[in-house]
Amino acid sequence: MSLGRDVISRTDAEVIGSSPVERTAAGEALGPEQELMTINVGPHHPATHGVLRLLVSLEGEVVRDLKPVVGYVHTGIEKNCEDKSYWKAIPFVERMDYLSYFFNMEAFVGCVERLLGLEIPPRAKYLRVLHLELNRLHSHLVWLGTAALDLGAMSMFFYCFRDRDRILDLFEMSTGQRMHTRYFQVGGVFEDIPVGFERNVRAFCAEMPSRIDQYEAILNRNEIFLRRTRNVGVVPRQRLLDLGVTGPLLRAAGEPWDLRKVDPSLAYADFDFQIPVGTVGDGYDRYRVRVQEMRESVRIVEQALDGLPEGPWIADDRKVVLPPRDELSTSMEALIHHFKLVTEGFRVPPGEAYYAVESPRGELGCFVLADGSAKPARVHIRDPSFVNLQALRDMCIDGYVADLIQNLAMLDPILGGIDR
Amino acid sequence: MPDAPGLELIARDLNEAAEGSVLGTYHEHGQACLIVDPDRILHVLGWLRDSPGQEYRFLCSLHGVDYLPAEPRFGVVYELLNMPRVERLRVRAALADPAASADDGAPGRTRSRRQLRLSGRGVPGA
Repeated sequence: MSLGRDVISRTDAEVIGSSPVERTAAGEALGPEQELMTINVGPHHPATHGVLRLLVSLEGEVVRDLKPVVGYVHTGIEKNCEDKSYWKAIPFVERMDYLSYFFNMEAFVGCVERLLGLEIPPRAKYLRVLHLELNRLHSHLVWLGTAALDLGAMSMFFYCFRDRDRILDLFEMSTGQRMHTRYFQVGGVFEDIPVGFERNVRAFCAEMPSRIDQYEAILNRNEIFLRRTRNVGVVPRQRLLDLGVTGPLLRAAGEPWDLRKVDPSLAYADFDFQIPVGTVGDGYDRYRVRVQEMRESVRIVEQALDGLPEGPWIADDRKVVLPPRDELSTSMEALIHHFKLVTEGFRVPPGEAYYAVESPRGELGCFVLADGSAKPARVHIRDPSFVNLQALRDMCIDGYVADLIQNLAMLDPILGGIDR
Repeated sequence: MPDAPGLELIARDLNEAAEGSVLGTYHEHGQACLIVDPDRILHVLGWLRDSPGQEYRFLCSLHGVDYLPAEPRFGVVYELLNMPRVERLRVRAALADPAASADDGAPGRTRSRRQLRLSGRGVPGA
């Protein structure tokens, strides 16, 4: 946290927000001892969970105004995608929200498949769901560890990263990479799961509920954690809806909105799972909702393994999907398709589509405009962190500056997704 | 999302409420889209939000699109959602030149408009 100046003038205060605090609630002008102080939190501060700058106006220890300043890690991903063929854009979008890379892939790949009118095989749907839910667990584990760390529970960080690493081991086994796997392809997935993967996932799923029990045992009766989260950062459900907030933040306020249930894509309609919701909408509810979501994700992964259909894991449309390796040495046609796809890429008929998935942070949507060429004319990502960040001001106003850190942690923003 | 006849009914009602507000409609990949006059975008979004039976109150996404070589060239696209019915509707303000604003539709628009400006797209009223 870096101090700018001790006292800001009224003119500066107007820059920070639309409603600078100049008078008390009773309408009296602020005295000298009540002068606002503006500080920068971030952009380089571990508690901002990324490169986020918060301009905070303080009256003593109380936050009177707050403005997030974003853009420090803007990398032009959307614009870059316009210069890549569709299949080469996948690694770009994957790197936006770096904790939910499978969801980034699914949003983009699903949108392209919608434009192509391409139906993917049932096995590919199940494999995608399996990896998406493991990814949700991974993302929530990182959140839980870092959010608890912000409140002083350092051991949680180590425990959560221990289990998160087991998920990365599973990703490495099935995809060859621990992060940014590029596993989802237009038409399905890159490769079938290897021998032993199912056994390892089942072992993980068998152990994970008891791990979550342990996490809850650490936090649920921790007086410091409870006092720091209960009734802190409450934002009413309707206000969250007005702001466009989705995901665990919205569900913690009592709105049971989850795209996996209300508008299921892939094979989500086949699975039995519940949507946890909160009642108050405070930090504690956000914690409870995410922890319960981890339990539900474990259930979905187990069901995906139980019901994993046999068959191909990628579509057999040779105009879109690379031919199998063994065909290249026997089929001239396959060789031509391979050459065309690798050098030029596949063409997508003109049109536009929006496709959304329920990421660990809410609705992750992708809009793609196709002009008939092998490259997208426009790609836009609706990243939930970007929209959810709007709620931070409502969470923090008239609260203590110490709670700002907790509120930000419970918001769970990923700046890579916000800035893109 | 509204089916094709439903979309035409929405367009008709909108045009009755404010003549010339809807310039066109289309259905694409199962999604309904209204092309609207950018000068009436506030009215259109307000009508879609507040009219009984419509109630597209949730703004999922807002982005600028360059439709070159089409005319008008630019579009500001609003992805709306009716949460109770789980219906999506796309509204495109067709712009030859940035000239409209939708400041008052929903609080969530402010940040998205700033982002549009950052990306150098046509930004109505930002």
